[in-house]
Amino acid sequence: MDTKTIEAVMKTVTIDTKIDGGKVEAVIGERARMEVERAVCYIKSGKAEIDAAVDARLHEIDTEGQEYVDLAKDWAIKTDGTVDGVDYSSKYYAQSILPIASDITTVAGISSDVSTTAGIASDISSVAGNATDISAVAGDIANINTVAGDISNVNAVAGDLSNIDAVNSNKTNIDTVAGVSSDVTTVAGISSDVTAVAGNSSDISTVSGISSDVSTVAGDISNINAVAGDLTNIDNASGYAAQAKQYAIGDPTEPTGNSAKYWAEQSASAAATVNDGTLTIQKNGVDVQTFTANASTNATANITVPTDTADLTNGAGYITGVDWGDIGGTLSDQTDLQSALNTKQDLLTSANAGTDISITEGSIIESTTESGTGSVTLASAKANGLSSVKLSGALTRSATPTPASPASFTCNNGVIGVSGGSIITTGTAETVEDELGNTATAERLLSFDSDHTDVQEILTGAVTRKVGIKVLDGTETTSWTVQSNRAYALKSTLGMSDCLQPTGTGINSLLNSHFSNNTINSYGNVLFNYTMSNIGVSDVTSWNNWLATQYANGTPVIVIYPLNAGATESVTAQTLTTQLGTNVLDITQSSIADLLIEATYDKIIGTTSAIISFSNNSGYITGITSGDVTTALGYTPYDATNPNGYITGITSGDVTTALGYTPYNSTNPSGYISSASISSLTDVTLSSLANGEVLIYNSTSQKWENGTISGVTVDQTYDGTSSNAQSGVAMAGELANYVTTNTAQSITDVKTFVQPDGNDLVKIQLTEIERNSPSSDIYRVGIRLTDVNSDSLGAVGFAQLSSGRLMTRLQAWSPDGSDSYTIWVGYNGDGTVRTGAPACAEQNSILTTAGLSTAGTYTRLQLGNGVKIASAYISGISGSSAYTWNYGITFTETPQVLVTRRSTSTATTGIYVWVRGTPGTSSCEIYNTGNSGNTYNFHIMAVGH
Amino acid sequence: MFENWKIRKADLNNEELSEKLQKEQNEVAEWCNENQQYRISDDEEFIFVEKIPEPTAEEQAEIEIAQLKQYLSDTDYAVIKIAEGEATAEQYAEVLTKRREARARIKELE
Repeated sequence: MDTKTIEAVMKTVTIDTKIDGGKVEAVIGERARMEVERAVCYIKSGKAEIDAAVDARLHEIDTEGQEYVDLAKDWAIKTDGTVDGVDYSSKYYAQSILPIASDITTVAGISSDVSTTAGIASDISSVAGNATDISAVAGDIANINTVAGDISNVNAVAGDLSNIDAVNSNKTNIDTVAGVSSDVTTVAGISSDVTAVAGNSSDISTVSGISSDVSTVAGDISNINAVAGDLTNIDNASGYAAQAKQYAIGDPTEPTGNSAKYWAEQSASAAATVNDGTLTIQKNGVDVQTFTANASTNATANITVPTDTADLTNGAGYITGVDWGDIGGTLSDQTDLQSALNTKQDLLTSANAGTDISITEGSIIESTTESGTGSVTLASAKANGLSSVKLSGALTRSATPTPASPASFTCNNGVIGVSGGSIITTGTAETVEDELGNTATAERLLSFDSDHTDVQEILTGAVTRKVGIKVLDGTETTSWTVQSNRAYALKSTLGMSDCLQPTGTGINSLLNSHFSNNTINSYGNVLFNYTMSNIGVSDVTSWNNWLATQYANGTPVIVIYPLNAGATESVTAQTLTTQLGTNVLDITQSSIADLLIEATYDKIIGTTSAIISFSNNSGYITGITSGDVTTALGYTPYDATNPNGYITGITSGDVTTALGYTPYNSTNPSGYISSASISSLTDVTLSSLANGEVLIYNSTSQKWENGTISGVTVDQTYDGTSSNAQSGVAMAGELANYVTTNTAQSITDVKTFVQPDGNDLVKIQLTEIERNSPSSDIYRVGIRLTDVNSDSLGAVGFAQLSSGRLMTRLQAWSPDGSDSYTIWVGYNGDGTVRTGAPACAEQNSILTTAGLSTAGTYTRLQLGNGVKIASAYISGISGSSAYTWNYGITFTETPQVLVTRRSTSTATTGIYVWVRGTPGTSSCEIYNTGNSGNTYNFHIMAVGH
Repeated sequence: MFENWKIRKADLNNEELSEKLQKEQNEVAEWCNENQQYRISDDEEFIFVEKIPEPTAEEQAEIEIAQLKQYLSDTDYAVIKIAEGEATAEQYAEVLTKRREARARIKELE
């Protein structure tokens, strides 16, 4: 080794001056290595300089090593602080451990345990990681003990793990159920209902499948309820519908029925004779409206009923208005009118005092009691002057009287009084004066009531008395009957025999100047009803004295009473002159009694409104009643309210009802033939018609046009035989494909036949049916049925194959035409038979055919859908014993169980085995009747769903 | 072992359970077939293990009758041989005696 090499070696011995435990070790190691290197160098070179170099380097190393020794010492024993400013020496740490030395000793004593613990550190870690759970378990130790005490049940649960697993697998479902526990409780409470629902699950599924329909039905529940409420009618509807159908279309098999269809057809066949009758509505023979059967619009006939005489046509000259003088006959003959007039007021009465009563050439004015001055004006001339002027009586009692305050009576001549024993009136006399100044004075005229009034005829001086007056002076009679509340005496004893006596048991009132209650009864007694003691009367004498005193005092008791009959007297006649022109009677009396003016006039001119009333002795019509009209007409006029419901108007519905059918519309909406003429048809064009022409269709004009077919005369029906074809008619083209019955024909195209009801079309195609190798067939023929879309429905065919085989086949296609199935049978050329059929499986069948063919290519049977088979080989069953065989599966239905004995020994022949009773769906019992001393083996199989 | 085994029929149609339960039923069936004290039965809702009931007197009689008839059938050959002269009654005396006893027992049981 050269020096450089040694130096290089030495340089590699570098010591990091940074002292730490690792470096010390490195330095020591380095030193040892250097020793080795030196030894190697010695071995290799033996040169002294190596020693020097090595020694020098060793010195360095030793120096550094001392440092390291010191540092190592510090790391070993230094206790007064840290060694490197951070960590302490081993001694320091050892001393710090001393307080727990005994513990360490203890740990050392259980070092095996510690080792064990260390060996299961991961377990301890796991335990530590589960400390919370352990604490939880510890806290629940009571429950754990409880579980431990019930370990049999726990074991039972463990034995039922399959169920628990099953439950666990359904945890989601259980959680779902828990979430609806209240619903479950509810369901439990209605378990019988749920069972019922389960029993109807198929129905519910059906309903679910039609939920939209159910919703529709629910949305229309009101109608359903209405329908439900009308079930009887609905039940009857079917019958009615059948009847309606019968009425509508009748029995197709008996088209002669009286159905609407029948009659419609009859009507259609007789369309050319459709009539258009006219309904004419008249009013008294006068046309009001017409309506034709084919009218396109409605018509209304308004037959008016007169509501006013102006609406009446008076063709018979019935009275429509009567002018005075135009009425013939005699009034007295019109008894009802005369009777009515007789009840009318005879006198014309002025409405108010001082108001003139104007008469235009009339007679007759009656005036009630008036005050003041009035006049009667005769506005036009009168021929004969006034024939009668009458004044009627009037009487007024001033007040309701009492004996202490007697009332006075006032008549037309003033206040009634007594003078010199006679009855007098004091006041202004009532006079009547005409326009010429002639006056007449009325007598004292009284009035008791409307039937008892005094009347004075001015012009004749005749006075008719109907009212009596009696003045009592106390001397009349001593026959009074005086009681505490009344005094009465017979009217005859009072000089009042002419007093009107009430009929029956009635009582009439009288007018009295002193007593408000003065009557006459049916016995003829005149009674003065009063509390007699009030006037000091207690007997007849005091009563007569009281009457005499009143008389003497100038206030005599006066009784005004109606007379039994009118009495007449005469006074001086007066003269009242009337002239042509306007005649005026001035009535100047302040209290005018009834005034009656009678005259005869040829006519009355003026306004009738001025006439209040007048006497109509001639019986002229002054008013008319409905009875008068009826009598005059001879019949009762019809009431405008139309009580009998006579037709006042007519609608199209009325016409339809009257006809019993709906008239056809003139617009001919159904397109009936409205004319017997062909030329009227819209698709026919006729021109220059000539004999022998026929209608020929022109596809260009799309019209039937008249024309001739040259050389052809068609006069009989072609039946498909050339023998009866007309000369010149070619039996070619399409005609050749017509089908003719009972005639041999060659059909070269598809013929379509329409079903009798005219609905679906089914084509019958006479053609060859399919064949596998047409060229190998001698012939093949068949009939194929197709639908309107020419999709095959079914076919039947026959073929003779070149192999000599005869085949007949029946083929059916699936609805979409994608599959077809064939049943065939045929004779082989060698006389044997072969047959074929498609696969056939009935629902729930155990065995099905998967295609059957004697051709030997695919005959086989297969199990039906859902069929289960359990089989077993059972060995070592003693004879005369029962064996329960559990299938290992559970059938839904009782299976078929087959048992066979298995033995190779001929000695066991005749050993019977049988299944006892009905096999169960999970197990069955097998009995062996063999010798009990032997054991037997069996094959057993259960087959079923 | 499976005395309390019981599953719900509907679970056999559960895709998740059917295979397991079917396997389980096979095990139970084997167990029942082996010990011949229990059998698998089922009702509308469950499939379960139940104790095989003791045969009734009628059932026992039925079994015995079947056994006796079987014996008669099995020994017909002896009677035929005797009838055809191929054997003597003495040769089959024991058989004939048992046949008589069998018939008598059948009458008794029936």
